[in-house]
Amino acid sequence: MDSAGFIQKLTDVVGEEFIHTDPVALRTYDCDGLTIYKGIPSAVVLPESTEEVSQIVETCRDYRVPLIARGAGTGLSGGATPLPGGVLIVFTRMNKILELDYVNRLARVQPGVVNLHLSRETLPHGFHYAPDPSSQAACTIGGNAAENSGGAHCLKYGMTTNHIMEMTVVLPTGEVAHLGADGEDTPGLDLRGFFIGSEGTFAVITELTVRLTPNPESVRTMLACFSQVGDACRTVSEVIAAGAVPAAMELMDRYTIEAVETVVQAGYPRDAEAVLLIELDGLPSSIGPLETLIRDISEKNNCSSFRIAQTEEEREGLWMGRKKAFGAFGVIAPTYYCLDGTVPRSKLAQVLEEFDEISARYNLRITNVFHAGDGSLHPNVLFDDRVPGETERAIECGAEVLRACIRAGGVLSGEHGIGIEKIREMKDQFDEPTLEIMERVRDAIDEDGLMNPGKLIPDEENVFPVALGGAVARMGGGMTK
Amino acid sequence: MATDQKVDFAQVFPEYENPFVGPDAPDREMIQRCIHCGFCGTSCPTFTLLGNEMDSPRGRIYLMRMVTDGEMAPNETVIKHLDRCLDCRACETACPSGVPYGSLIEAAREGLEKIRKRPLSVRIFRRFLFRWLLPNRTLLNLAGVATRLYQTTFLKSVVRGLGLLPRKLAELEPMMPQAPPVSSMRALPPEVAPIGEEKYRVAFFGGCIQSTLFGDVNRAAIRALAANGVRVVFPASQTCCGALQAHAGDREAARILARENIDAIDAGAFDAVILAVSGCGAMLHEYKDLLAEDPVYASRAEAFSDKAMDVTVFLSRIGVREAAHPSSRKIAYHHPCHLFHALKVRKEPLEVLAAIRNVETVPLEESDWCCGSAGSYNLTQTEISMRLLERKMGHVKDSEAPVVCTGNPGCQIQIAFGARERDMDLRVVHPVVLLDEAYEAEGVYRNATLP
Repeated sequence: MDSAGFIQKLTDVVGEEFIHTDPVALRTYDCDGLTIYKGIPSAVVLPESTEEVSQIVETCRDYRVPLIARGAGTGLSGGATPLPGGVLIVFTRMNKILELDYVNRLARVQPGVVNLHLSRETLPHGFHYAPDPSSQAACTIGGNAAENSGGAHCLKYGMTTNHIMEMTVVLPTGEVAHLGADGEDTPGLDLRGFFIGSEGTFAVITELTVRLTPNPESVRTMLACFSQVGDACRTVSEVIAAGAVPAAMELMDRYTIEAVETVVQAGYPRDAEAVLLIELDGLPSSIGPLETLIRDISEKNNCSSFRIAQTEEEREGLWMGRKKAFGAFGVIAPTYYCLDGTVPRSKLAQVLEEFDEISARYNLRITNVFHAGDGSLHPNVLFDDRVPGETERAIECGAEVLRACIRAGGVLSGEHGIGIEKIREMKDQFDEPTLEIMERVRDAIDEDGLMNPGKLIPDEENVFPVALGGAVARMGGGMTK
Repeated sequence: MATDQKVDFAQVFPEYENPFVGPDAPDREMIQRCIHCGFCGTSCPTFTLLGNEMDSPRGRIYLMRMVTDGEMAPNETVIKHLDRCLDCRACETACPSGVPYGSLIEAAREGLEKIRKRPLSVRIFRRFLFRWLLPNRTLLNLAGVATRLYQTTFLKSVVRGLGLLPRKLAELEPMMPQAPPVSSMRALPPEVAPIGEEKYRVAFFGGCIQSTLFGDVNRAAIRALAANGVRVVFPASQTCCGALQAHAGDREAARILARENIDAIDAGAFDAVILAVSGCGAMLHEYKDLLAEDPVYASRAEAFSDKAMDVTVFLSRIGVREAAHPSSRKIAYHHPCHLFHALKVRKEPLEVLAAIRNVETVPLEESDWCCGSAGSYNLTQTEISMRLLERKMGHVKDSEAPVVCTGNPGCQIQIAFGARERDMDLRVVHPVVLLDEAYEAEGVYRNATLP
């Protein structure tokens, strides 16, 4: 390949200032929030418009170079980790809010807009963007759409896919397509839903129209503490079974409480085996009865204390503990590996017991902090990557955790995406015909196999090696949730 | 490029060891604390402006790690991106893992100093500035007087007219703050008695540039303290705090100054060591880390650091005396980075301002964002600094406040320059000065002997 010619073409598109080919610069792009797999791109480009992206994609197609899109690089499944030698399209410059339409409750944004920045802009007008990954202060809406991200409040409000109305995408040919519509229904095939969560294997998103959600009239946040994890899990199941839909219901276990209290002092009791952070929102008149219901169910399940945040400050404190929980693990372990398997709510207690058994077998501690309301787990395998062999052991331990989720009737990934991380386990999740139809769909859209290769759908040709030894900074970590 | 191949430093830099290895190198354990989550990105002004991973805290830590581990030589690219860091430490506020980024970047800069090829003239200038000028009150005042003369007499037009200033200096000249009258540079009195009953006794730390350019702020702080029942002692043998030196990679110079200050101020004998200059405040708090390995000074440094306190923190803790300001004003408060992010002083300056009746603090967008001053950053990275200033001034305009309050001389100089450039009628002032004006107007100082 004429690589000088290729780089020159890309440079012509974005301008010299917005292309990086220096080996040092390229190294800093070799992974996203999952540092266990790495690939060094041949170039990083920072386009500023759909047209530029289209020309980049076309150039890559002409030269048969794989391309990978990246927002903030906070993902946890390796979705933005480049196949070695690929071109990384970074969306940090395409970060403009193009239109805010409060009458139709829509926002038109570029993919590099940071999730929280949109809400910050709309909050004073009575609206917010509902999907709220823990990384919402840093992650981008384009990345959220690619991974179909979740968040604590998705229990009530739905995942990213429920909040995206329309997307402009650049297809593998370089052509620009528009998927979905501003209205509630779209004529024709629902390609919008189809492309969301495809992790950049179908197209590159260059613009999104998202739904704005009215701010709740009132919010109440409470903390229920338990001396048995099982009791906390049963409380979750019973609350949902009783017909209540809290805005969020988060469970944290003893190890998480210990880490959080060491770092941020959120006010979780250190002697509890589990705490449930529950948030209700809506009209004050509807919150009251719900609160009574939840308190009754918690007490029936032996909760040791039940506290309602009295001030906004106290409420923020309770959430701070949850949002910083993953980072806080750095205090109790040198390294951790965060998974996101999801199980039916009724199986929570059983699966957590199974995790204990796996943890004992691998002699690696597994902590749990998760969106209990929708059964979206975040088991974290703690380990020390400097101990020879422990990284591999942690990966195996993680794979077993995921298989336990699948056995319980759950799924591999609740919100982080498959990426590189869980690609091996796809065959545990899906039978042969299902995987095959996925492959055929992908091949039909991406004929040349250049769109984020080696991700999402098992692919024998493009396998990322595990980066070991000195090349491992930290594995997993962070939290797109 | 091979990723797992170690660089042979003996080949790349024949005369040096790996600059990131050794006692003053970035702490590998602390680098390890970074979990690569990327939460810091949006908090980082340079990442936000430039969009490059190498210009984000996470990217910079990655660069440091690669150099430390010998995977990469500290080449021009590494230096460029580490140099672009403001050291504003906003990323520390955002970091969920408690990575002490400030100490990492400062250690890295110190390492880079060892291999940096600076022209002899620059090296001589740096040495003169850091080791001679800043720690020397007399020299610094002389420089202040010279600047004042230059700015207020025919000299300026002559020099400019003849094009005598070197190009770089001529570019930077407009950023120079207005030097105050010589009277403002005079030494502080050794001791000021409290007004009324003595409740506290504190030592006052003046700061070097602060004392020359903002001596009036120091005096306002001392008067306000006295009005709150505080006896203020000014130990005369104190010197420059060493912050600029440490940020620029000369921590040895900073250590020398730290020891001098610890000797000069017997911190244990006072309720606090008070400053009205936040950049120095952060430095005094760091003495304990700076001298942690010093067998003679380690424990004294710790005691010293624990006593250091911003004047607004002290006043807010003791319950600041209220007063009405003579003119009713809206003000916007800009958080100096080292106060907000390094020392986590956030509410206290606002509490002091709240004690001034007639003064209304209005919201300032991104008030915790760096203004681009960042020590000598506005001189070394002028373009990025000016872009940050543009952003800051836009928010100041939007706030519609005719006064910006902020506790750091660097920020004051930068924002005042921004206002001059934009023909804005803006007063930039330390919060304690407004408090002092209110006390003065209410007659609190009547019959007191004050500086």
